[in-house]
Amino acid sequence: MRRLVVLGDAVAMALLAAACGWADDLASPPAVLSVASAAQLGPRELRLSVTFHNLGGRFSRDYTAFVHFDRDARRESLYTLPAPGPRPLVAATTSTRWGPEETTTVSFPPVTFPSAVTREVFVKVGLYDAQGSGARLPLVGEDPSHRVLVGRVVPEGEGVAFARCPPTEGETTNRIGVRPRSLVRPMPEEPAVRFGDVDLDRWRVEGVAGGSAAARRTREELCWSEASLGLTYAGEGSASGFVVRPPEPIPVPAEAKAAHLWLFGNAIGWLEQRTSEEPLLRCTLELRDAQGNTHQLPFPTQVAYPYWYVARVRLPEAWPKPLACTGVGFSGCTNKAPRALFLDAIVFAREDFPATLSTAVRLDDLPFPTTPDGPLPSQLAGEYTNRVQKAEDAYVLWYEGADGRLTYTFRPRVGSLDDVEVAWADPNGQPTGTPFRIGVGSGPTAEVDGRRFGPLPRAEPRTCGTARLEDNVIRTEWRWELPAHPIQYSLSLSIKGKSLIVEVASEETALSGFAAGHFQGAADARFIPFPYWSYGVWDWGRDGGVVLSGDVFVSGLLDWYRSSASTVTLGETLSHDAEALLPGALAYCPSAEYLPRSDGRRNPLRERFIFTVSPNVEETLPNIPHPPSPNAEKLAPYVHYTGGQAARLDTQLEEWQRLHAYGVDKVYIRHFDGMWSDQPQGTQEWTLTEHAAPAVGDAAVRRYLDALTGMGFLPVLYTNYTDLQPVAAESDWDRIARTPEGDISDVCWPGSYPLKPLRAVELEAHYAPRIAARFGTHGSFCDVHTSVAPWHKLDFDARLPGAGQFGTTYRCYAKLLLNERATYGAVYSEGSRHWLYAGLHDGSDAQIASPQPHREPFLVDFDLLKVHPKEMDAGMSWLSRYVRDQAAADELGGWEAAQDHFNAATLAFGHQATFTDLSFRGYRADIKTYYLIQPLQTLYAMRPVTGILYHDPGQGDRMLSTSDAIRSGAYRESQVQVTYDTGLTVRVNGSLKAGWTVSAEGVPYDLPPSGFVCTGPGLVLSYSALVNGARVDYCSAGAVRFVDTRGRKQRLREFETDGAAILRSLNDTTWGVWPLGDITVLRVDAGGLKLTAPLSIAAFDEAGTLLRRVEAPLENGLVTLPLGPEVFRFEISSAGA
Amino acid sequence: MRWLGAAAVLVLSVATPVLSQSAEQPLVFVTITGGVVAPETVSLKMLILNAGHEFKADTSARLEFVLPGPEGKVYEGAARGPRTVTVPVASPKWSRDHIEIVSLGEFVLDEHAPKDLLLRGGLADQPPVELGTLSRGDAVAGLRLVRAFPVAVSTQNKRRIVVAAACEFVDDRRFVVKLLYLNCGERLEPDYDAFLHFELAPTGEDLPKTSALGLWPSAAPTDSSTWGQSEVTVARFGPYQLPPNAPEFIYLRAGLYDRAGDGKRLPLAGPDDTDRALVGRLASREGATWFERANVSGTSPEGKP
Repeated sequence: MRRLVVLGDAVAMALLAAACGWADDLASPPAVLSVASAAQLGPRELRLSVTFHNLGGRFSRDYTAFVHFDRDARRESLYTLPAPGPRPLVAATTSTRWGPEETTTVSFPPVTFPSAVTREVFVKVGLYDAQGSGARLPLVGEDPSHRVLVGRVVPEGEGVAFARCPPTEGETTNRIGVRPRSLVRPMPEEPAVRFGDVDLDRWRVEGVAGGSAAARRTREELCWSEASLGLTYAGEGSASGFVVRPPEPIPVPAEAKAAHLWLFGNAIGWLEQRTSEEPLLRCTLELRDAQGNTHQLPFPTQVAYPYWYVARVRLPEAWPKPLACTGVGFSGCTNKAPRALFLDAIVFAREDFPATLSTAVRLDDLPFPTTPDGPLPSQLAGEYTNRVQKAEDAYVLWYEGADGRLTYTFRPRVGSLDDVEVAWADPNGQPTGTPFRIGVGSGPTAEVDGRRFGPLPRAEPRTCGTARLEDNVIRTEWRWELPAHPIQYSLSLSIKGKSLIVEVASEETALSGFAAGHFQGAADARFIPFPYWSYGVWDWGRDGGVVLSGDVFVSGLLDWYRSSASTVTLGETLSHDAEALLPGALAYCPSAEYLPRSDGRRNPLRERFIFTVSPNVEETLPNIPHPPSPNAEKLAPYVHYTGGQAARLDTQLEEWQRLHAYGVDKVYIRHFDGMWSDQPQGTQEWTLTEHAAPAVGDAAVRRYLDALTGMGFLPVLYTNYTDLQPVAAESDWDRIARTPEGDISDVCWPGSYPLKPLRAVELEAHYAPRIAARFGTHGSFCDVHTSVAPWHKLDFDARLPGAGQFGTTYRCYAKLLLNERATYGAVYSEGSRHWLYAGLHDGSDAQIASPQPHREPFLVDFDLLKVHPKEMDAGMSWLSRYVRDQAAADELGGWEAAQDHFNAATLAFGHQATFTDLSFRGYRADIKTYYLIQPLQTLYAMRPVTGILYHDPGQGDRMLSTSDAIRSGAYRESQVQVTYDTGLTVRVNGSLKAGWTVSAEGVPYDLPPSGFVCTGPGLVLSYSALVNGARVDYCSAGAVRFVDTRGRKQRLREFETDGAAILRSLNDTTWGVWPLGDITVLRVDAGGLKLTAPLSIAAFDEAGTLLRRVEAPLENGLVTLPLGPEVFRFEISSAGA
Repeated sequence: MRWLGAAAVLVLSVATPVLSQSAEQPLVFVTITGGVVAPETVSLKMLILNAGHEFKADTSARLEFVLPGPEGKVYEGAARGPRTVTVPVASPKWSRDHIEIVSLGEFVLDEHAPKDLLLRGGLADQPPVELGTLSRGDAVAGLRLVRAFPVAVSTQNKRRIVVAAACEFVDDRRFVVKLLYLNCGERLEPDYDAFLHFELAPTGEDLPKTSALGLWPSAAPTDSSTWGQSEVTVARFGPYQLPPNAPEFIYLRAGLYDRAGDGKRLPLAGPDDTDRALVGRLASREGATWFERANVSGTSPEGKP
């Protein structure tokens, strides 16, 4: 291995290192072999020792040994939990005194793995210069970060076990990398530099601001070429960096439009917690122009992807040509320990794309919206009349019904919603509260010659040309006197039920949007966000909701089915109206924003706004006019699990077989992207392929999926038509969405570029049938599409129809989701904006948009009344997306309490259960989740809700309607009762602290925080409640009983036990019994199971082998089961049967 | 002032300090705002920001039009023309951080009206102040309102931009801050970004401390290059999460900076040494948190210049 080390600002350090021989340590071939062992101190406690075997090296320093516990086999993603949890450990050595062939064993402090760590943990060790630069010593079998994978800590039952890796399992620096599978084709354009071929004697690496780097030609990671340039670097701070310089400037062809740098990064952009040792580098191209000026051209995004990808930057047209490249710079090297990245090539790309593009995709054949009224809220208060009258200087739009009288008064003054004043009166005509305004500071916005105007007229008045009343529609024409560019637009108003419908239109492409302004009403008016009604544009997505002003609720909707806008905004827009400062000035209705297409033109303005006022909040919630999922009957019984990768097929299959042995089989198993690539999201493309991870192969994956299907599971594969990886076979720059400036969009996710929505439809239609046929799957996990709102994924390419409109993205994603379902049979997606696609897929992970989702109140109405009838959503997404971190879990009372809250929320919102991988008291909590919730799912999934009530914690047993609960604030306690048309009643105490005593079928239940009780037809009963002051989980549904007394001995219906157990009726005279986890006593009530003495008990091990058969006497009607470590299940039958 | 939590009642009964209690610094800031609603018609409002004053009795907002000249003669026009207006306000009900916007009505300035009129007024129980200038204009430039530079603010400031804030709690721990930028006759070239900083001390700059509490510096683009000379601009920030165990005081500083240009802050009326205006502070005590608005006066929280 050859290394070139040229250190710029770190020259002094390098010289010092060289003088004392340290540089030799780092440059010498690895000479230390590392082997680890572990002493098991407790079920989850280990003490690690590492033996270093010196193979003949001499060391100038006493290096410090370290152990890292990593989430990932390959990347550096450390656990850093407080002691005694897994965290980096260090121990001093006397390596300067190590003789050849000497063996040294280093012991580390004990480590306890908390139950929240449910995945395998990778143990990596190394030696580093703790007293000096922090550099890591090369070791035999090391990975690019100079650490050696010595073992894994794997879950085993309730505990963990250490499994040593063979010395060769780590990735050595002598390894030859696996080229991404599609890079066997020619490069689209000939590169200016192939870094694997450069002459290292002539190229230089310069350190900057304390940064240093060493370069070497290597085959560790292979991209297009037969070798790449490996760069090992370190620094002192964010200014530290290094520049890779060619011996002479590299000419940039005059026709080149962009620079593409192929690189293999080393940091994970999506990691939430990052240390200074794992920085995201900034990358810059150094260019010299024709006049000799040097320019730094930064790539738009940081190096945030740990596999091969291409960073792209557009070359500025203004710089005098010809240009020449004088270096590639990296900065932000805060890491003191060396890290490595790899470069493959620089391409100065012409990016010659055709002047026209076409698509065969039709978007006019979609089955939604099912009504021309769009999201118009429902009118629920019986008969009513609407009329519109012209008064002296105003028009009045009337609603009169049994519940009251509503007037919208429109005075055409400034041509916006500012002209509308609203008043509500009771049925006797008495005004309630003061009149309010629905859109203060609203109006059209425009951009003329780079100057922005509006929404207030300010210095440029707007005048009403015509105003007339036609067929109960007020039609007005306006002229906006912008400098040298008067703009005309129309504004029309009508009323339907309690909703004011405002339509605005113009052919003027200078209009850049229409601002909805803000509400101005009672000083104590407040915005009430509803979980799952999320636009994703403000306040972490808690931006869909209604205003409560006085006694009435007000909603404002931008009709997303009719809009021609590019995007929507809410809450963060500036206002030039002083009244925006007042309390009660609330942004609540999305504004429309029109951005230029790639041809510089904007789409003509077409918007419809719907404002609704009612004392009943349900009447203000938007409808979702979509056809419901046709899969309710088929999918309602399924619970959900997301996870799995090709590298763990055998382990995963064993886990599912074990769950199946407990009777768990109705699981929609959503495998993640790691089924398509050798590593999660890496090495290969992880979507837009029909081939499984190369390291495993299609056949093995098919066998695995078939095995799962054979057990009754519904395993599906990952799909995603939003992200295109440059290493993918489908990679094509002209498939990437364009910006309003006409440029190719930058990465939308580390290592991925945003696929044009229309191309997404085409590619989905291509791949879906192939994947279904190849792998025999009957559903899909179509990630991302419902996680983003349509306005988050835009293509401004004017060569394609619908450019610059979020409606195009909306319809494209809907079309491909519908085709996923049509092709595979079912489709679930990621969720959080899934309400926009309700029914157009079967369901999504029910992510709540919030920085602390577990704190969001169980205000279930929008989800249950509008989304729930259309689809079946899963859990609260994954546990880590609901209870985001240890602090959140601590707030709830630990991870078991977090699991309880997760399940309680799942039930309150009527979602399907979702597995969490957690274990408590010796068994996997998913088994409990399955038996507590799954039997209820067919009674509520997509079933109509007949009632929602909230407990008023200050008023005893009093239950409130949603409207009153919002008015009083009682809904914040999250104590909610939901009834379904099946007869199921769900009562959930979502309070974080308070208890709630409820009566269910005449029986009182003491619900602790996150407790629930559900009663339904056929004596269905499922609860998590306090019994004798201790929490108990119990379910009785059909032929299944489940209990968990959480370690305290309790007598409960069919059970007397101190642990958890499942009972299933196998036939009329036989019951199966599965004890779970730490259980020392298990008695069952023979009479309750309709078994008659004498009883025969057969004990089986997990393999189904009969261990023994005994005749068991009854004691007070109870039969005691002979528990033992080898017993997996029992069969109890009447002996004469 | 929005009170939080059950303990709020207890705190309500004790003195709630305001940022400045100096007798020289008026605790009620009054300015004029409005818009041209027709070629010869202007609609005027009075914007009143309370910064801790407690009113014992009702008062009224008063506006009068004054002819230019040393006499300061009040002008009374025709029925719809410039005329003295008095509007009662229920000031005893005002909270210590109350905002009142009083509609003064519409005023027609036809060819019979003087070309220029001074606007003068304020709360009736306080000395009247100069509020602005109204120019009738001509065929080229129409009606024009120019806000007067507030007398309370040091005239040493070169820039005539005044910043004030409002704060609203959206639930028990989250709050929104609205920044009011009042232009008093300034013309700005770039589109500055409005920014809001949180500080733990009334002077100096130490943003990492509040960032560590999750109160990150915030900024939002404005269209300041198009601001008229009496422009009112409200920028909304947040919601922010009040940190657990919040310190007794969290100071809010605001300003404008040239994000797209050299990044420099624009010196504002009443800035401190960091070119930021102190607009108020969050005070937390005994489980309750409330907002105390700073005087629009260019003084430090303790009333020192």
